[in-house]
Amino acid sequence: MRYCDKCGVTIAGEEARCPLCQSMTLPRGGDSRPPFPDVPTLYARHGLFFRILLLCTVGGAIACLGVDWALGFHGWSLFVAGGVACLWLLLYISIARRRNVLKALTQQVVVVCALGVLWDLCTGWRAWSIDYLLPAAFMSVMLAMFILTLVLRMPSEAFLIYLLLDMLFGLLPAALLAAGLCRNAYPSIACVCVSVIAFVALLVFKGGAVAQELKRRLHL
Amino acid sequence: MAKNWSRLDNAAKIFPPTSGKADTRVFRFSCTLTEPVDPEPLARALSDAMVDFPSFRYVLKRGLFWYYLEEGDFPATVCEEDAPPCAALYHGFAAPLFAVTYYGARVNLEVYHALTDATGALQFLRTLIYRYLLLRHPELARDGVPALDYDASRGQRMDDSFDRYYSGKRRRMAPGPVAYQLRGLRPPQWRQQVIVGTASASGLLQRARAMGATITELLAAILLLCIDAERPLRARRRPVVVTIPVNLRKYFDSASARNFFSVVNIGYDFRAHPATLEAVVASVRESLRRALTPEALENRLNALGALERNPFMRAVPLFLKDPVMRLSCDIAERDFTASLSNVGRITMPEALMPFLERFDVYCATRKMQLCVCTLGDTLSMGFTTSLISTDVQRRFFRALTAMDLDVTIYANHPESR
Repeated sequence: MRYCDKCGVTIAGEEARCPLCQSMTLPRGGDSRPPFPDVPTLYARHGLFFRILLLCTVGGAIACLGVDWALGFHGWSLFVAGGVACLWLLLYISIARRRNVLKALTQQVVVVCALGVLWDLCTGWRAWSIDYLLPAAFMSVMLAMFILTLVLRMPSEAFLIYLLLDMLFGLLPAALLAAGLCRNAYPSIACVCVSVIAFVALLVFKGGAVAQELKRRLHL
Repeated sequence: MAKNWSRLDNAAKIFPPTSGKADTRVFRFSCTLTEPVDPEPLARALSDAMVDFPSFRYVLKRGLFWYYLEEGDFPATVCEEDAPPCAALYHGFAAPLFAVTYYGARVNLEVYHALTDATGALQFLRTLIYRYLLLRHPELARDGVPALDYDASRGQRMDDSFDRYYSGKRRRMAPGPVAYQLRGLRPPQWRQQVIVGTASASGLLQRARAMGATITELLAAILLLCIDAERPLRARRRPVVVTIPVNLRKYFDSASARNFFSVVNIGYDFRAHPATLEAVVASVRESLRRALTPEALENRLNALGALERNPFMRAVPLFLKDPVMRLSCDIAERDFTASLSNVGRITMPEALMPFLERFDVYCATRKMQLCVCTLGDTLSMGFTTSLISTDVQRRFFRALTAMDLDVTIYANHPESR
């Protein structure tokens, strides 16, 4: 214990200065344990790794732009810069949502598909994004979620909504097929079938839980 | 198995969108014992207390339109205090909304405000301490300690009393004037500056009585005066306003262990009235008398209840609702400078009193909050701010020592040494 004769208060712990007026304190025996544990301020524990990665990728992209410029600008360096931007966007989602893997997967698949369509558009529309990327992405996320829920032994309320969302995404290729945008129909048909089968399986095995989850998530 | 779930109560709805690094909306109740805490019986006591209070099992989740509470599945764990006081508990995923830690002889219960208010948390902590002491000292159980005086069934504990007492009578709430806001440098990482002061409850009560006031009125008056004395001259055009949470269980029949509180704002215009303790105490007493009527409290309850029942508000998806609620909360919270929350006298069975030293309570805030509670003759006043400056606290505690009260200060170091 200490004593501050300016404030006239007893101070717990061994404070050299008064917490109220910051003047010197006098000793006064008794318990010397500080009233609160000292918690060090940690600034971005993993900061260095990401900073180095950021410098390397951004530095590389700038170097490519420079080389491209020196050789009479053919535009290939813009793809490098775009690739770096996509990498950081996807990395950001995985880190920001690291505590909820299924939510991260759901957001990733949306972003990956949007970026894929954008790349396809920018490189002279050959429809590879909607022909192959979308069906492959939706089906692989469905498979990944299925495995994750089994391995991590997740309770149904932790994964149902994300699984349902991904099945809903899986029906998107049907709309694209109907609009006549696809050049190779087989992957899209496969994706739609897999989504519908997965949905039926979910209803058969977890029908009650699905109804309850939707009631909770959609309550007004 | 079907999971239990529950809508957030009216007061809790504002907390998830507005809690973040700056204001974690977490408050801490702690109980200091007379001997070091033994973690093993504490964990067992916690496990039992969680059965007594089903709402403490709930985790927070996002729906398409609203947040909601869902029964969670997590073990009762206690650990040694290793984080700054009132650090964030809700990180946007299903995790417990409370934490029990210990440090030396102190048991801390930190609670996210969406789960319950101070009254609910106190009932939980009292049960925890009661069960812990009986496990730690089996001889007490043999002598037969009377049970706690908390009489509520599980249904009553889970009750959403805001919903129960919403009558649908539409009333408008007139917004108050914009109050003076404390400003200054902040500790790193938005940590809270915690300064707890203890004094004799009977001594303070005697001084309050001498002025014809209650302890809450006296402390509110001192706080108003201290804030006024510290602010720059040019800030005087705004009133200093202290907001006081009111436990609605005293006005409406409820034993809920969830949120059931309202607030009243007590302001003082230092330009128009004298800055003497007597004048401010008289003004605070008069404002409280006018604000604390069942009609006024019912009006506020109905006005806030009508907001969440607004069909337009209900149908807006949560990702749009969040920023709207954040903005409206920022605007609404401009009407007070600081908060003063008096939890009042805490009762524990007489046989346990030799093992108890005191209870403390304090709450994370972006502004300044003073939380008061009393055990026996020990009145604990917990100041929290997210400012480095301690000038208001210095004036406040010097005002108490000037009244010949012995004050002991327990402070943390928001900036690590």
